[in-house]
Amino acid sequence: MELLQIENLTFSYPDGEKPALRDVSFGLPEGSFTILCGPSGCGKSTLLKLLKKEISPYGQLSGERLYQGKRYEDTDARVSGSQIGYLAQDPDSQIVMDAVWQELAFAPENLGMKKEAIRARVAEMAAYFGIESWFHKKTTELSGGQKQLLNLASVMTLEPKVLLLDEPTAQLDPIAAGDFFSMIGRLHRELGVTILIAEHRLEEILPMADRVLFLTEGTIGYDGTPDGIGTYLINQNRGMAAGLPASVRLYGLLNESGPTPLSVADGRRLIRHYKNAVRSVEECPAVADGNPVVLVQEAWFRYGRNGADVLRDACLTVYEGEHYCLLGGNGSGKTTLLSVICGVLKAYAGSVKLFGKPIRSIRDGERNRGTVAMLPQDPKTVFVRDTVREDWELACKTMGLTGAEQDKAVAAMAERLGIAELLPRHPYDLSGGEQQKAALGKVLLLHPRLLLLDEPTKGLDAAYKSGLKALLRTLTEEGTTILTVTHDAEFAAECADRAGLFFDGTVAVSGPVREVFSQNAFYTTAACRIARGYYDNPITCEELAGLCIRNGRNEL
Amino acid sequence: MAYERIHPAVLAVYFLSVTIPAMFSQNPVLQIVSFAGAVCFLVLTEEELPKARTVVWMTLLFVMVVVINPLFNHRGQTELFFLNGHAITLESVLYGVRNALCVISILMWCRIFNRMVNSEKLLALLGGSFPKTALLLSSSLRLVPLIRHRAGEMRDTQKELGLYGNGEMADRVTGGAKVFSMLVTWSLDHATAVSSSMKARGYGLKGRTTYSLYRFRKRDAVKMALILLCDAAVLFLMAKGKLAFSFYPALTMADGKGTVIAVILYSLLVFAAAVMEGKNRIQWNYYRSKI
Repeated sequence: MELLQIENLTFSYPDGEKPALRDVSFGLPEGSFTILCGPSGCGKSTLLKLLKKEISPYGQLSGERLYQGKRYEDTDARVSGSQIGYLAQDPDSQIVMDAVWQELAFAPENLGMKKEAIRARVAEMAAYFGIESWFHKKTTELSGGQKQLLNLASVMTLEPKVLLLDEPTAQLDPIAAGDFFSMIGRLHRELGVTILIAEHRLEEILPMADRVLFLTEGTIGYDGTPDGIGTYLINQNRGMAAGLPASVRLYGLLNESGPTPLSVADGRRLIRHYKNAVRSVEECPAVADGNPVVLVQEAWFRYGRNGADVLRDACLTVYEGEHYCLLGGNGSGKTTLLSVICGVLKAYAGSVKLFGKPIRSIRDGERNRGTVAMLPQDPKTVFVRDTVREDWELACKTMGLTGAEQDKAVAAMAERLGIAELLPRHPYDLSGGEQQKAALGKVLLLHPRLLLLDEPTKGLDAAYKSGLKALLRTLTEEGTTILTVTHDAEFAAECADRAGLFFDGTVAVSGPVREVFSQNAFYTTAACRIARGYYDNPITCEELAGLCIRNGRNEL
Repeated sequence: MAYERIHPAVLAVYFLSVTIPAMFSQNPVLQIVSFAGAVCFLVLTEEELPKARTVVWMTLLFVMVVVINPLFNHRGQTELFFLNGHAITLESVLYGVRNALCVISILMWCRIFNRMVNSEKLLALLGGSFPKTALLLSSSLRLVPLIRHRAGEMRDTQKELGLYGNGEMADRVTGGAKVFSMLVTWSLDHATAVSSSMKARGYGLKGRTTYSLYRFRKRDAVKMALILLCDAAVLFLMAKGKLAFSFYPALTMADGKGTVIAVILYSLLVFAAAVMEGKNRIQWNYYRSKI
C-alpha cells in the first residue's frame, strides 16, 4: 500500500482564474525518494502544502488525499501533525524560538511529550545532526545553512514518516546546500524516511532519487525514473533542461543513447568515447582593456574598531563594458567589497576609484544618479511602496523625471523586462523570480553605468536564469559595466568576461573567465570537472559538446 | 561559575531573600551587609574591572541620593549647619546614606541576578507556571534582533539606491517613514510564515507540555530549604521588631539576642553567594594545579 496517495487532485485559489493544480494523481510508497521539479509557478509549493493538512491553502479542492489509505479529513490530527513533516524555503521564517535547544524542544512539546522523553529526543537529534557545538546558541546567531539544518532537525523530532521539502536549499550557498542534501540522503538511507522534495538544483540530488515528477502548469508532465527525466526535458526542449546536471545536458547535446549519466564521474566516462586530438576551444579575443571603471587598490575594511579585517589589502580592477564575476565562499567579504564600491561603507585604508575619480569626491546624489547602483542579495529590501509601479516611480523621481516622462520610462522598462502585468501588484505577493525582475527594473531605472549584482541567481530556476543571462548580455553590449558577486560557477562561466576568486579578504585569483575556471580544480564548473585531463579549456557544456563533436567518436 | 550549576528557581528565591529585607528594613546594618555581599560577589566573578563609566555613574547616584534627603528633610536633633535658614541635621544625612546604600546595593543585586538568570533561565522559570507567556516571550526575544537586522538591510539598500535622501533632514525623515511602513508589512509577512511553520510542527494540538533544560536536583532542594528557613527566621524577627531602627529624632536601634541572630542569619544569606564563588575559585585553582 502507498504511504501517501493523491487521486485526481484539482485545486484552485479563490482569486485564481485557472486551477493551480489539475487532475494530479500519484502515490508515494514507503521509503521512496521522489524529486518534484518544474518551472517556478507550476504549482509545486501548492501541491506540497496540500499534502500537509495543517497548512493547506484555502481554495476549491476536489479529488482525494489519502494517508495510509485513510482520507485526510478522517486522519487524526495527532497522526497527520507528527507523521507528515514539512519544511519550507526560507530558513529564517520557520524558526520560532530564541535558543537552539528551545527550537528543538518545540515540536515534542506540542505533542505533549513528557519532560524526560523530550530530553532524550532532543539529545538524540542534536547528536545525529551534529548540532552539539551550537546547541546553546541563539537562533539569530546561526548561519543560513545551520538554520536550515536546525529546521530539519526540529521537524525530525516529530519522527515523521514522510518529509515534504519545498526547495529547502534555495536560500543557501552551494557548500551549505551540499551539507543539507547529504543530511537528507542520510535520513533516507539510515531511517527509511519517505521523501518528496521540490527542487531545481538537480546536480546533487538526482543520483539519490528513485523517481522524478515533473510538474508543468499544474499537471504532471513526467513521472518516472531519474534516468528518463533528461531525455524528457531535452526532447520537450523546455527552458528547464538548463537546470539538469552537466553530464545529462552533455548527454543530450551529444544525442547519445543508452543509460543517462547522472554524476560527473559518469560524464567523464562518456567523453572517453570521443577522441581528443583537438584539446582546446579557440580563445575569443579578450576584452580586458579600456578604461578601468572600478579601481580598488589595497583597501582595508572592518566593521567596528575591534572587529577583524573583512577586506585585507583588497585589489580589484573592472574595465569598461565588461562583466566581471567575483566568486568565493560565504562570509568571505564579497558583499562587503560591493558595499565599499558603491560607497555605503568606507575603506579605512587604501583607495577606491570609480570612473577614475576617488569615491570620496563623488557626492552622494551624483553617485546614485546614473553612476553606480546595486541589486542586493534579497530583492525584497529594494521595495518600500505598496505596488511595483509606485516603487519604480520613486526611482524615476530620483532621476529627476516627472509626469509623462516618468510613465514613459516605467512603461519602457516593464516592456524590456516583460513584466508589465506585475506593475500594479504588491512586491511581496510576487514569486522569487518575479521579485528579482521587479527589483532589477527599479535599479535599472537609475540608469547606472556600473551595475553591481549580489547573488543574482539565488533561488532562481533555470528558465529565469537564462532570461537573466540574456538581459545582462544586452546590458553589457549597451556599454554598462557589470560586477557580479556569486557562488554560481555555471552562471559565471556562461556570462562573465573575466572572473576572480575572493578569499581571505582579497581577490586571490583574477583573469579571463576561461583561464580562471580551467585552472581551478574544485571551484569550477561541472563541465570543467568532466573535461579535466582530457580536454584543456572548455568551461560550459555547450563548449564541451562542441569539442567532442569536432573530435568525433572513437572507433572501437 | 558556581551559580551556573544551580536551578534558576533557587536563584530567583535567593535574589528575593537578599533584596527584600534590605529594602523594607530601616536598619542600616542590613544595607551595609547587603552592599558588602554584592561587592564581594562582583569582585569574585567579574572578569574585567568595571568600566570607569559605571563607577562614575554609581558614585554620582550615591552622592545624589545622600544629598537630596537632608536638603528636604530637616528633622533630627544634631544640627550640623544652616542652609538658607534650614537646619541640615546629622540624622537626615545618615538617613540619606542609608537610602543611597539601599538603592546601590539593590542595583548591584539586580546586575548579579541578571547575570545569574539569563533570558533562557527566566523563561524556563516562567514556563512552569505560565507556558503561553513564556512561549510568547521567547518568540519575541527572537523577533527583536531579526527585525532590527531587517531594518538595517532595508536602510542600506535604500541608501545604495540613493532613495534615503541626500542628507537633508526632510528627506531622511520621509525615507525613514517609507522603510518603517515596509518593515511593518515585512513583519506581518514573517508572522504568517512563522505561524504556518508552527502549525506544521503540531502547534495547536491539545496538551502541550513545557520542556526545560534545567533539572531540579536534590542539592537544589537542600539549598532552597536552607534559604527559605533563613528567610522565615529573618522575616519573623523583623516582624517582631527586632530589626527596628529609627533615625528621628535621634538614632535608636533595637538590640538584644533577637537582633544579633537576625543580622547573623541575614549576613549568612547575603554572603552565601560570594562564599560559594570563592570556594569554586579555590577548587579550580587546586584542580588546575593538579592537571
